[in-house]
Amino acid sequence: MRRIAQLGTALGLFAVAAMAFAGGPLEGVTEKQATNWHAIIMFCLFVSMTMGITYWAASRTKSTADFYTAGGGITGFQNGLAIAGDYMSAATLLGLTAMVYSKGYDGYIYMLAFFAGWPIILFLMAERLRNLGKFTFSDITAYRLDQGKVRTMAAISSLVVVCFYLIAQMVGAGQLIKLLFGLDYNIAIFAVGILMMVYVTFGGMVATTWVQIIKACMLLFGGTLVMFLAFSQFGFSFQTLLEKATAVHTLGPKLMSPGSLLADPVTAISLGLGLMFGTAGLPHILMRFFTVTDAKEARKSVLYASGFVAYFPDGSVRHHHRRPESGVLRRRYGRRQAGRWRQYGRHAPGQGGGRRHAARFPGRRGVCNHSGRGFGSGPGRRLGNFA
Amino acid sequence: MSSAMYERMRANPKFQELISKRGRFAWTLAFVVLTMFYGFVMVVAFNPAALGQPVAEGSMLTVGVAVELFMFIFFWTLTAIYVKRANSEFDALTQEIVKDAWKENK
Repeated sequence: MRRIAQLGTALGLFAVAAMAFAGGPLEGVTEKQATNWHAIIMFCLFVSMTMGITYWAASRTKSTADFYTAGGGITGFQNGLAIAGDYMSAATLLGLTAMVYSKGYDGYIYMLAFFAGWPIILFLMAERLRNLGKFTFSDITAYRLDQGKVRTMAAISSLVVVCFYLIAQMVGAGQLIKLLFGLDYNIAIFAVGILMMVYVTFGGMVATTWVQIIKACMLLFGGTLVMFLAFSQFGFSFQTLLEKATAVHTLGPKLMSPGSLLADPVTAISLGLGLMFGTAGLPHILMRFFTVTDAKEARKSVLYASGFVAYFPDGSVRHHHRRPESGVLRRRYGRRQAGRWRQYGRHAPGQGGGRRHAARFPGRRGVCNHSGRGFGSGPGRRLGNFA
Repeated sequence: MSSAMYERMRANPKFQELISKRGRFAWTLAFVVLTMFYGFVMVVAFNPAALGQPVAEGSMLTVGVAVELFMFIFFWTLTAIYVKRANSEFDALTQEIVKDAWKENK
C-alpha cells in the first residue's frame, strides 16, 4: 500500500512537472481537434480490454515474485514480444518516423544504433544479471556493494531519469489524446497518468507483460499494413518510391546519404555510443530476463525481440520515404512542412490530399490510434520498474 | 545450495572450461558487433560521401542503406548463433557441473 501511495505522489508530481515544462511552448504543435468518436470508441475498447487483463492479473498476483517478474512463467516467445513492445515506444514510433521523414538517412542511422545494443545485451549482460536471481536493478547493484548507499543512489538516479523520460512520454501522450479525442491537454495528461498507475500498481508484471504483447502485435500489424498500402501506391517498386520521395523532399537526393544531421565526427561518435549503450542499459528491458522460466527462454526472448524490432523499423523506414509526397500524417506535420515548402518557394505536393488519403486508407489512421495506446501503457510500466 | 557446493563447482575443470569457452565466444561476437558498428559510425563521421553512392548505376538505393540493412540482418544472425550454442552446448555443460557437484555431495 505504501508503494502505491508513493507511486501516486511521484506520478502526480511528474504530471505537474510535465505540464509546467511543456504546457507553454508545445501548445502550438497540435491543434485541439473536433471530438473524434471513432477514435474515442476504439480507445475505450482497448482500455477496457487491457483493464480486464489487469483485473485478471491482479487476481493472480500473490507474491513479490509475481508482482515483479510475473512469477517467471512467461514463455520465451511471449517475452520476446513483450520486450519488443517495451522497446517500440514513443521514440521508435513517433520520434524515429518523424526523423526519417524529415532527415532521411540520418534517422535510419539512429535505428541501427538502437538495434546494435541488442546483441551486446545478450552476449555480455543478460545471463550475468539473470544468474544473480534478483528482481530490480538496485538489487543487482546492491549485491556486492553497500546496500544503503547504493539504494539511495539508485533511487535518486531513477527519479531523475524517470522525471526527464516521463515528461517526454507524458507530453507525447497528452498531445496524442488531445489530437485524437479533442480533449483538453490538462485532462488528457491526467487521464493517461491515472490509467498508467492503475495498470502497474494493480496488475504488476503479469498485466504489464500482456499489455506489452498486445501493443507489440498491434504495432507490428499496423506497421505491416501501412508499409503494404504505401508500397502499393508505387507498384511495389522500391526504386519508384525512392525516386518520388527524393523528388519532392526538400533535402532532394541528400535524403539517401548521411550528413544533414550528423554533420561532424564528434556528434556521430557520441551518438553511436549513447544510443547503443543506452539501449543496453534500459532497465525495463533488462527486467524482462527475469520473467521467463529459465536462461534458455531468456536467451530465446532476446532473439525473438530483436527479430521483431529489426523488422519494425525496417518495414517502417520504407513507408516514411513516401510521406512527403502522400500527405500521410499531414494533420500532424502538414502545416510545418507546408511552411517549409513555401519557404523554399516550391509547390507543396499532396496539399489537401491528407484527408482524402486518410479516408481511403483507414489503416493509417489506425496507426495513430495504436501509438496512443502504446503511450498509455509506456510510462506507467517504466515507473513500475523503478518502484 | 551451500558454499561447499559452490566450492566444488568452482574446482570442477568443466566449470573452468565453461567459463573460458563461453567468455571467449561471447566476447568474440561482441567484438565483431562493436567493430562493425563503430566502423560504420566512423565512416558516417569521416567519409559520409562514400555511403551516399548508389549501389549500382541508376539505382536509387545507396550503399549506406544497403550496409545498414545488411547489419540489421547480420547482427540478428549473430544473436541466433549465440542463442543456439548457449542453449545446447553451454546449458548441457552447466547441467553436468551441477550434477557432478550433487554427486560429490552424497
